[in-house]
Amino acid sequence: MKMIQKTYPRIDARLWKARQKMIAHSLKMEGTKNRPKRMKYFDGISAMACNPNNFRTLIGATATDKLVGTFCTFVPEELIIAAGAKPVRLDVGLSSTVDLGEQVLPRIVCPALKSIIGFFTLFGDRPDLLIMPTVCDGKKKLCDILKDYAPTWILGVPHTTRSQQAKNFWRREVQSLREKLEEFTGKKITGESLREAIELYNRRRRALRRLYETRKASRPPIWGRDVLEVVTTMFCDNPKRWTYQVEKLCEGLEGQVKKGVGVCDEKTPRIMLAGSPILPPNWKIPDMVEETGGVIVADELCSGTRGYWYLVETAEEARGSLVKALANRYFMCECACFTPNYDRIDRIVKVVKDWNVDAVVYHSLIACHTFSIEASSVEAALRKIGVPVLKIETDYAAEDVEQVRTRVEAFLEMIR
Amino acid sequence: MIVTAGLDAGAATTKAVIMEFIEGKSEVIGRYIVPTGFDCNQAADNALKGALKEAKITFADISYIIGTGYGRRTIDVANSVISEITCHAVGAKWLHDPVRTVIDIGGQDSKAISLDENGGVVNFAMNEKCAAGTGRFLEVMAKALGVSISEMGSLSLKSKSPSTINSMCTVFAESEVISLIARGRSREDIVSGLHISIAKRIVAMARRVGVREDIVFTGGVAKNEGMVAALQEELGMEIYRGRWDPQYVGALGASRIALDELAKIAKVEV
Repeated sequence: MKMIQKTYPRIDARLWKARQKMIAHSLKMEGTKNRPKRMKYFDGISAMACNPNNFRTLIGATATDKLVGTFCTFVPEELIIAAGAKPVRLDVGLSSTVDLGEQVLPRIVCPALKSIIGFFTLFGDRPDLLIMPTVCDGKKKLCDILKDYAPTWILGVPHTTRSQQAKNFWRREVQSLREKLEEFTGKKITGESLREAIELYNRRRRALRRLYETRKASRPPIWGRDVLEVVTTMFCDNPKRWTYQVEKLCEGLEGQVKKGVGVCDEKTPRIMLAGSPILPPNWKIPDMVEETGGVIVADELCSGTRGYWYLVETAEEARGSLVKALANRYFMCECACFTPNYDRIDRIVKVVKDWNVDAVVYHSLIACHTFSIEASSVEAALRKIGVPVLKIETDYAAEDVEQVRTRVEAFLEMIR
Repeated sequence: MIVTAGLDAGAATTKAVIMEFIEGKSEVIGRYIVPTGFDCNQAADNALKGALKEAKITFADISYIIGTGYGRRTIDVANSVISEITCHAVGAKWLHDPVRTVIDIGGQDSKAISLDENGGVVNFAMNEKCAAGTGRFLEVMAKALGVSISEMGSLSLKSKSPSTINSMCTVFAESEVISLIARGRSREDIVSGLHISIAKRIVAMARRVGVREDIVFTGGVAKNEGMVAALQEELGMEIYRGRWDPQYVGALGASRIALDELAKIAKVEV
């Protein structure tokens, strides 16, 4: 397999800044006690992922392979793989590209959109196709702008999961995506290729689940920041290689748990992160929580567990029902763009109990209406079971770091 | 005799409080305030020196120091740091035992803290990252109106029909104030309008964490009579008025916590 070896003599200063930030973070983490050695692999990937021009190399695409960019956790990437293309999830949290996005977007929109647009303007070797699900208003309207950068396919997501019409609509959307991808790559999606892709992704999900299981220990063997790094490298890393590395990482961690070794002591408050996505290299909130004396043991983020919690049920053999199984699986994302969204609250409560969580930090990005509004019902549900919630509204910029720190510190003092 | 100190390095001023503990009783023996300026650490040193002078003791007499406030991690002399939210809660509890809600308006933060009957923090809310509803907001407005910050309280109490100020952004509110001046509104009415607009915002924030009596108002802005009146009006509740200067409450709480920390280390009976 011939890898594309393009040389980019100059990397844009903004991407360089993000890369340096990522490397500085990794070095800081390297200095912490009992950090798994295998994290070095993920450090390398996350530093490379700050430059979009590395994506082809990372995913292992050959010169003729088509690169498909996806957003959110709604795109059934198995279809892309089965059609012979390579999927890369393009949600990024670079603060350095926000100003480029502001040249196109209005002032009050979520920073993730600004960052993505900025990132795209620096994208040399752009994806051949983008798939954008119609989730929140921001992402939905981003399609209009992204189509100037690359051909964009709009994947319709209904606003509720409760009605049969919505389910039928979503299945038809997944079916059309399949047809679109077949037409795009010129390769039929066979039952066999789809089954293989689903197996690959299910294995990836199981590995991630296993990683989260190790954190149930009274002394978690890994910092939450490192887990977020592992999860977000999945967006653009070769799935086979990534899964292998995570499985190896889990073996090490399970050994540590057996020996009773952890990154912190039993008394450390156990925190769960919830809310808007926390995307690399924006580790502001996780850094703050773990530097002020807490440990993140679980999360409910689309850059964490949300997209990878459930497996695709492949019990049925027929080809048609595989697509249906896939559609069913991706409909269980519990994103705040659904109304009503009781399933999400139920799952948060379940995770809080299973992972023995002491308190929840609810992160909302500025102008992320869906998650910000849902915060109050999540808070109410958690208060009912006696779990305190800290709501933080912030963006990618570093200007409010000290204010956020005060809040997190006071919160940890309060629950101790 | 055990002596502890609390240093509150705020965004505008740095406060020091020295407390003495004899036979289970705690008493303030020295306090001092200086502007923070550029160097938090230097300001904390100066404040401590001033307080030591008032207490007529030396640095060596102090057993434990806790730093708090925005610049807490830059204070070299502090043995440990605690966030200002916990400090304000503890300070308010010490001043007035039945306190259940603390409202603090400082130089760059405003916060509402809800306490349980033992003085533990149950919930809190803080202003988001802009200067709206803080001491800095009032400072900018005082400058636009050509009055000193200490006059604002008494001025606003004279107002008969307060102006309406809609903008919460400091920059936009300043232009709104200037346009009110141009329309010939009196200073009294404008200042009173400003206080009401801040009070509305603070009360909305406080209601999010739940307001229960007794309420203690802390921070530099609590010295402003007009602000206290506007808050009482908006809350429909009485605010407890102590004998104490509200600006020192954070440092007071810090020095009180210092004793607990000391007790943990030295196992002294308190």
